[in-house]
Amino acid sequence: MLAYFEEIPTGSRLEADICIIGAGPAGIAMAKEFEGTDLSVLLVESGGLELDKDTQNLYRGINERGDFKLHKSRFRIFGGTSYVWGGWCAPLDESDFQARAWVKNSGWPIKLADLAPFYRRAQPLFELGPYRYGVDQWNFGTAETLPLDGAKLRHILWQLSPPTVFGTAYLGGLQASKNIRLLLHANATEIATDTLGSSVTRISLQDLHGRKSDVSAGAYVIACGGIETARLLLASSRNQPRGLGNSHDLVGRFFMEHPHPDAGGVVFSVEPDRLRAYYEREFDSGSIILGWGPSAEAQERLGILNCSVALHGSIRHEPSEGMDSLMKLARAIESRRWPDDVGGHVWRVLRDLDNVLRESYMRVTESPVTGFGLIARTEVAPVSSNRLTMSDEKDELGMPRIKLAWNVGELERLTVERTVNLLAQEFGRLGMGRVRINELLLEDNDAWSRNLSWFGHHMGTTRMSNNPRTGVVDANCRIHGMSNLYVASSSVFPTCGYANPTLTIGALAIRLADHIKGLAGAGSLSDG
Amino acid sequence: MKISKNKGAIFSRRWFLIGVPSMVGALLFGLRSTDHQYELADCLRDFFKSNLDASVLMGRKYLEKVPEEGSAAWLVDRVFGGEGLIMSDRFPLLNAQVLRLRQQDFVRGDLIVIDGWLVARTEARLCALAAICSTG
Repeated sequence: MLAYFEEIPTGSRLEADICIIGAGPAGIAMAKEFEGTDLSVLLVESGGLELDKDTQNLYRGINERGDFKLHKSRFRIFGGTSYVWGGWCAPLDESDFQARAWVKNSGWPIKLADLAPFYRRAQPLFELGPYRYGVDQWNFGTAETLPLDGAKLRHILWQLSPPTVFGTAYLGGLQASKNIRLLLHANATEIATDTLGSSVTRISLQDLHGRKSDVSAGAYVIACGGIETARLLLASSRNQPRGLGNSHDLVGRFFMEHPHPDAGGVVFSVEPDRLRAYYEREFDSGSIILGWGPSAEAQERLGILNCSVALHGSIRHEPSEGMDSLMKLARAIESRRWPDDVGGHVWRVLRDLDNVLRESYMRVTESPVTGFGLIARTEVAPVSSNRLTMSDEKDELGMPRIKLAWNVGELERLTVERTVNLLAQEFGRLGMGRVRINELLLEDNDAWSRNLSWFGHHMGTTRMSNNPRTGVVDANCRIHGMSNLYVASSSVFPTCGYANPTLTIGALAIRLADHIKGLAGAGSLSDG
Repeated sequence: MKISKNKGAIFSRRWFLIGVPSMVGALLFGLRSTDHQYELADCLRDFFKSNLDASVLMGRKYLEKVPEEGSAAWLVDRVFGGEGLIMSDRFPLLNAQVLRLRQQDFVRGDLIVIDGWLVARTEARLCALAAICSTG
């Protein structure tokens, strides 16, 4: 069923067994799991079926680093940020779940084996084939894959979703559902609890035209993404002055986002066609991207984080900053997401015009490919001081806007530098070519951290831990100290690995749905 | 010897893809002919034309980074393992020796960054040798 908030008489109380706030990939994945059950589900979404500027402006806030804007890196629309995403899917690694002595605050309360069944179930949600992320599970035809030294480097494989736009793909099913009600244009502004703050009693809903209602349910799930989930908890301070789930001042802390630095490039010493497994995307059994990353052994030996590098943008002349910028602008047009430093990129193209023109000419004339650029995506360390807090400014609904204060540390720069170095060692050893490193990676941390690309992977602000002193939610994604409030979001990630977060978000959402179904089956939906 | 002023020229011809093994041969050829550095450089230029320019440029950049290795005798000793260089019948052996050292560098991770390129230490030393010879 589909309803719009404006159709509901103001002051109404909506009721459901389960209320899910946020209809992005997590919320929709969860709702779909309840399809056809005896449970009534209310799926609440702020946006509508089309992007609306006023609604989107509710996401405005302050990012103190200034390198991406909070209202441009996520989308307040049915389907959430799947409205614009690249479709890269990969599970976290086994080592990502482990506590690592050289990465402070690392370790999940669950293992990869706990999540693996849910990763498998999440695959169809993203229109992916079987759960196969090992390079040996794919047939690359006559293309070669490198026999890497496992003590240094390993293959990384992403499966590519079309990409699935959840708002389009799943609207029909939800509209037709008998037990799931989708409510659009309804903004959750406060989570109300009993006086002890141990149980949610209702959630306040409001729209931009002043209409108000609330919803009462047995269990509540906040599925508002890596930033908004924490914002809603912090803003719900009527009975808990520090906000819900925030007894230990953890909500909003440990913010993470994957830096995507231009890592350099490679030139091949063999015919590029031999290595097409690394730059072609379409194979008989599906669409993938194949890259490299430091092995778990190398991460430990070198004291670095997890990381990935992949070929990116073919080169016919030679790597140059102008072409790098031109490619970034081209990608921005393709993804409909502009980098904040558009002027800087245009200037770099103009400054390097001779190389840009030569490379462009060689592309137009289909000169042979001689190499590729390299793009990295690195894990960031979970750091308590990387946090979002409430600013003094309020949005149109009266909710405090977010202030995000964070930085990327030296360990992240070192991780990318050493990963590129490992790739150079292996390319040289195997006689495949040579690797160029982006020299910003060799400079001080300020220089490289000012030149990063971001793709809206917001994570970590309600981290998972079995200990309420070190985490906001427990292993079942239930907020510590609360009987009926859960989180389905990348905000629960204690660490983030290199993997794009969406597949893990889907897997965790399905796992949470199973947990809630189990509670409902046992008649203890609101007991946690 | 004319050296390209274009910083980006080093790899524009994919120098390393063909340059280093040939360079070994060139050096050996030159050293066989004479131990006079000017004549060696002349010989190298004849052999490699533009690739030699790039090699020399890279060698100079290496020596800027590691000035303590600016001795031809020391470099010859490190790159060729102190083997007698003048004997033409030893060329294949020496060539194999350089390639072995280069492989060892990659396995051990003994790489150095020159103009952004991560190259094996032995490759860089070969270039340094070419740079020293070219200024003779």
